[in-house]
Amino acid sequence: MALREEMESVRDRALASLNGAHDYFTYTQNAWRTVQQAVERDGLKFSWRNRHTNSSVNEQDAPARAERYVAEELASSSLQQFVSIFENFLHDAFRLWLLAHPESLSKRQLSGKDIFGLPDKAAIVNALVGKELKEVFYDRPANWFEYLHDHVNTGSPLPVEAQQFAEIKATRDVLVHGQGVANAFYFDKAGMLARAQPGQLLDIPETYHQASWELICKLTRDIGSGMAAKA
Amino acid sequence: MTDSTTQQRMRVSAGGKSRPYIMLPLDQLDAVKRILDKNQVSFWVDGTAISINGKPEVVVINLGRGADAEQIQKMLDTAN
Repeated sequence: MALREEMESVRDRALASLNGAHDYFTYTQNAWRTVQQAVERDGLKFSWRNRHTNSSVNEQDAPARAERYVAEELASSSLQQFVSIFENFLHDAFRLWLLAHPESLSKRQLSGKDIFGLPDKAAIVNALVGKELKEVFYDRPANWFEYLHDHVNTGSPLPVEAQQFAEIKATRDVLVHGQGVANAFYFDKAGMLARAQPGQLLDIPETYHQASWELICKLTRDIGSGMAAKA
Repeated sequence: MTDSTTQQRMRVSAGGKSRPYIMLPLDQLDAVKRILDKNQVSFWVDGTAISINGKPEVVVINLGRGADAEQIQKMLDTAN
């Protein structure tokens, strides 16, 4: 398959995954809201028991649990999913680009030990690409986008979009590593767009959740199409 | 304020971890949003409305962590 088609395929897979993650969020939310509504407005009575933890939920506990699951845990987990899908997309797109243009890695080095374990030149190029991308993605999103710009100028993201994504990624890091409490790292990474002071809990309102999904879809579309056009 | 579907008092429900919310018919959403805005209460509304067994669509207003449910209930009680 030609690079252009491969790039379009990576972009389309990521967009399909983003749609799937949004559907998961929406329909799981709807399932909980349906239970909540049936209990509060129609008098539904039920009892659930988790046989593994032995916890139980009935119609009296369900509405409060539903609110916490929907407004907090579901929003948090799906936001993390959006960021992961984008990161994987960008990684795959860079990988395809570098494999097609390996000359940009000419100053990269591998140790003799690394090389002796590889069967051929293709495997060596693959290892060089892997080493390069490991370093790129260890860094902040601003550097991912700078790397993109240095290798293929797609015109995306715009500076404001790069800042917005940096804040979303910083929120994701707080959710994964900081139990949802903003810390000094968050404040530093999010910059002017920080939504909380260090020590405050970070909420994920649906407006923010939706705007994050829309931005990530846009970046995926713009970067994927831009790289495909230049392939 | 009265819920137009149930004809009962519109209620602020207590959510888990102090996350109160209001479940209300979609056709009363704008009126309640006006009350919350006027009183500078932060909130967000679910992106979807749900209808069960063909009844009018219902939507949820999320009042966020630590919102004062009692105070917001008073706002709804005094509104017409």
